[in-house]
Amino acid sequence: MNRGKTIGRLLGIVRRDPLAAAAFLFLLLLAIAALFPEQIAAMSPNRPSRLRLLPPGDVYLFGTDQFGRDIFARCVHATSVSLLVGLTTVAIALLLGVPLGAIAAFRSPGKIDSGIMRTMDVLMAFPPIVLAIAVVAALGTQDIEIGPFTVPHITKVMVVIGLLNVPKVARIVRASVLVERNEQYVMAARAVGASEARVLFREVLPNCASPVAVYATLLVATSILTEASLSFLGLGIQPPQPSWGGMLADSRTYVMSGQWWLTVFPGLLIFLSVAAFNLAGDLLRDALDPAQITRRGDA
Amino acid sequence: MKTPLLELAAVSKHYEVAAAPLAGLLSERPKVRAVEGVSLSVAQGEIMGLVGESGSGKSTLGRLALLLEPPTAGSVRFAGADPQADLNAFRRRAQMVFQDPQSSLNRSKTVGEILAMPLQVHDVGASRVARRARVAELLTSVGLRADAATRYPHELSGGQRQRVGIARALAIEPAFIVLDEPTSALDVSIQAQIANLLVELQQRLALTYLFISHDLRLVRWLCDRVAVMYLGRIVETGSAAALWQAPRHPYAQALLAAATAERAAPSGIGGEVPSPIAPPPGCAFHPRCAFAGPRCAREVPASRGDAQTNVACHLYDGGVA
Repeated sequence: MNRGKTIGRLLGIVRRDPLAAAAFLFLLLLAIAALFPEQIAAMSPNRPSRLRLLPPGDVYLFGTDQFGRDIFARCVHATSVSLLVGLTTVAIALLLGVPLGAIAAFRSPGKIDSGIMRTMDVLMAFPPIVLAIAVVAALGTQDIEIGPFTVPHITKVMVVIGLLNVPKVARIVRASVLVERNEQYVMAARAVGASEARVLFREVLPNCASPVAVYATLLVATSILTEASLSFLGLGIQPPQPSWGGMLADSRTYVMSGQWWLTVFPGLLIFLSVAAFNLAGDLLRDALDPAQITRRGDA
Repeated sequence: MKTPLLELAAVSKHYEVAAAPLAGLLSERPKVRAVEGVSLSVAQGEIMGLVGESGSGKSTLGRLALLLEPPTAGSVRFAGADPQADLNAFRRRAQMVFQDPQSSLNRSKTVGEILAMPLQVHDVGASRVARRARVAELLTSVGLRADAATRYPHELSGGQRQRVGIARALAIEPAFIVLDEPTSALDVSIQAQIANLLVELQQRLALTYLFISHDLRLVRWLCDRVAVMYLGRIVETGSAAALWQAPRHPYAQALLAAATAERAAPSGIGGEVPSPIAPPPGCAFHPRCAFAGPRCAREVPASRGDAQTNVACHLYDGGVA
């Protein structure tokens, strides 16, 4: 019954806030492109042709690159990787960061809190790109075989970016839980006899959902950027598989010679998807707070 | 004499003050002595008032009585037994109503979910339907409509929220409720309604209350007995009528004088409440007391009298000299 209300509120906000609605629509388009790339882009993203460096036109919507490949098709096919990396890394960060931060806050001040948070500080101290470069340098860019399982290179990238984001999530969660646990409803739940786990996971954490969800959407955006940066450096998605960052890297020699479409379209997609996730974060914050909507509605 | 339901024996609660990390090496960490050696007994079916200024430790004492915080020293007994032995059973029998109905209700849960939570925790009500019926019954008993169950706390007024807070405390049919300033966050007109509701529930359900308040008029009207707290200690205990007619401790006298405009002040209180980190030696009230003598600064006055009526002042213990 809560879910219905949240969706209802979401629709109400979309009507009031067209910019957020546009962001939402763009994310929907990205999702469709990620799920059905073949249906959207007719051309192959990887087959070279003799039609090199064609400017955007009727057939080649975004033009062609230095190998005559359709930039539109490459952009569309790169969407799924970018979204996958963005969402999976955030899922990893949430999976580890939420319980770690929550437990740290509930045991604060104390040894458990200090232990968890100092470990997080150490992780935070690594410069993310440099650490990712070190990991990729150590493990290589090829897929790894572990027994019967093949770990694709992209999985390594996702795990590294995900782990690097754990401390950020843990800090946000810890801060929110620290605020919430001083509310009287926490003591009320204890007075009633609720277990510590019940108080933390059923009473306190739902009230921290809003800042965490907002931060998670922002993290999707930064993760997409990190993946683009790694691909730009040649350590992320490996050619010929298309990725926005990789396309930027390949096109950098053409920036000065006038073939702007090689750079602008993947760059624009990175920019727009990051912006859309950030706007969606604001939208989510409003939708998750029942009191906020009533106040807005009253105004 | 009625049998005591709740007995506090020499209960203390000290909080360590968060200091710089290395400060503890050089000297003893400073402590807030929120509650200091308090003994109190509340009889079955009685409404016991607990009054004092802000910071006198009365709310802390309320939490200690429910073991929501472990006492630093002393013991709590409930119905003649140690509640620690079966904490779950104790939680079923002793509940709390909080001061701020805004903060004490979880804002992301509906009233129905808030009231069903105690039932779930204690496995009351076999089915969801039975629980829903119980929630409706609880809402009606505190004067709310049953359909309030689908509302969120922010959709209710302050008085309605406090009614939900009371309904939550009643959900698992406790014998004893600590009421921590249940009316002080409400408008004056609503305060009377809530107070009436509390009295009606107490009589109908044969409840025992520990009523924490700084509203002396309300305490006099509501309570059978009253304990007066000053800086973590109980300075006087007695029946509400006796305390109102003839308060014995100079602090109780001054407190009542301040509360009743028509009564001429026998001794105005000068100065501020001292810090509970460094309470004055001897009787904590002596720097502000009109009757203080040299002995008051040296010796902590012992509580004289029985569990029902007592006073902790050298005036009634051989003089202040």
